[in-house]
Amino acid sequence: MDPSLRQGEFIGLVDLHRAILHKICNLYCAQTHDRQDLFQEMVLQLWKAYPKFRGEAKISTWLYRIALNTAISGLRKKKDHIVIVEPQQLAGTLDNEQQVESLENQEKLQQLHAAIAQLSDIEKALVMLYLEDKSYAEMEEILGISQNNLRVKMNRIKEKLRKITKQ
Amino acid sequence: MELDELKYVWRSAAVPAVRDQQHSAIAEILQRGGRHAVGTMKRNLGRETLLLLLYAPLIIWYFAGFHGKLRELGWFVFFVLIFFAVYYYIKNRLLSAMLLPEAQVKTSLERQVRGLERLLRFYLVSGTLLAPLSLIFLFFLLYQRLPPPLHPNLFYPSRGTPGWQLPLSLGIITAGCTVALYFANRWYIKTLYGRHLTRLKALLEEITAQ
Repeated sequence: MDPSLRQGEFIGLVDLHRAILHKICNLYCAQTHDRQDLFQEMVLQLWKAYPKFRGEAKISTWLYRIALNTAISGLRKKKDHIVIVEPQQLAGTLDNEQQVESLENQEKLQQLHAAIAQLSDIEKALVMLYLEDKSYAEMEEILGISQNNLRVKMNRIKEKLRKITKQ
Repeated sequence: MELDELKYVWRSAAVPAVRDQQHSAIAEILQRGGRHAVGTMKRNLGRETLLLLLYAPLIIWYFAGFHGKLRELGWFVFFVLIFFAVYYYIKNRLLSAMLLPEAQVKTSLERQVRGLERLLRFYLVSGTLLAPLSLIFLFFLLYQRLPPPLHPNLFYPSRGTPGWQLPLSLGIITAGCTVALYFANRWYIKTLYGRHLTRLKALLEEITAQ
């Protein structure tokens, strides 16, 4: 395939799944410049792996694998901090009812991010996939952990998050 | 906090921070080099190989210059160069084997831990071996090319000294230098990669734990 065509196709693909990449960045990095670094690194790794992608796995599975591998083990990261998402960031363009709901959601999201920040890198990946509504079979395909073990780990994480939020 | 209740909130969340990246910005990212740990190690290896090539003219200089008197030194530099060329080749192969970002996270971690352990072991062994090999060569050069001094010393004992004393002295010096270099290399490796390896091992342990 023509390299410029291939690049265009790849950029379209990244654009389509950008939300996944951003969510991973937000989960693993607290500082804006770290998030940008991680985003760039994930895009680069995806680009390098793109010619070898044969479509044997679902594109989202392939993308999750590369993005999580990069986030978990690729970068020498600085110590994580709790991510603070300001509720006001979204509120400006919504009507009153939407604003109330949005603010509530943002508050919940902020609590969730603060709790997740206290989890290990592997646990973060599990929570992310769980929140994205991935099946245990898909999670197994991405992480390489057996489904039984995933269920056990997820139960432990849920319990851990309950404890964290009670504190 | 119940995770199941938060799925909706999570999925409907807006993406803050780096969302303003446009197509051109992504295209620009593709032109740059990454900061991936293994990628950086590979790039450093490339730079070291270039430096090695700059070192090569020394061989010609030792062979052609000094009326051929320093030919042995030329051979020495040549063998050091070969040693490092083989070292870089093996290191590059090990690093390439570590890079498999499209693998399952657990497999990727296993590969990285195994690869890095092999790499560090190789680094330690080859770095330590350099001391005895260089010293043996230097002793050889010393006895072959330089005339004996007027007064006996450790390397040129007097005639009455037992025959085992010189090999023993040389052996002790070589062993001492080798042990010192071994510990220096171990410290260097630990400083450079120790934390990274410990972290990868901890992640692997966590992912495989039941």
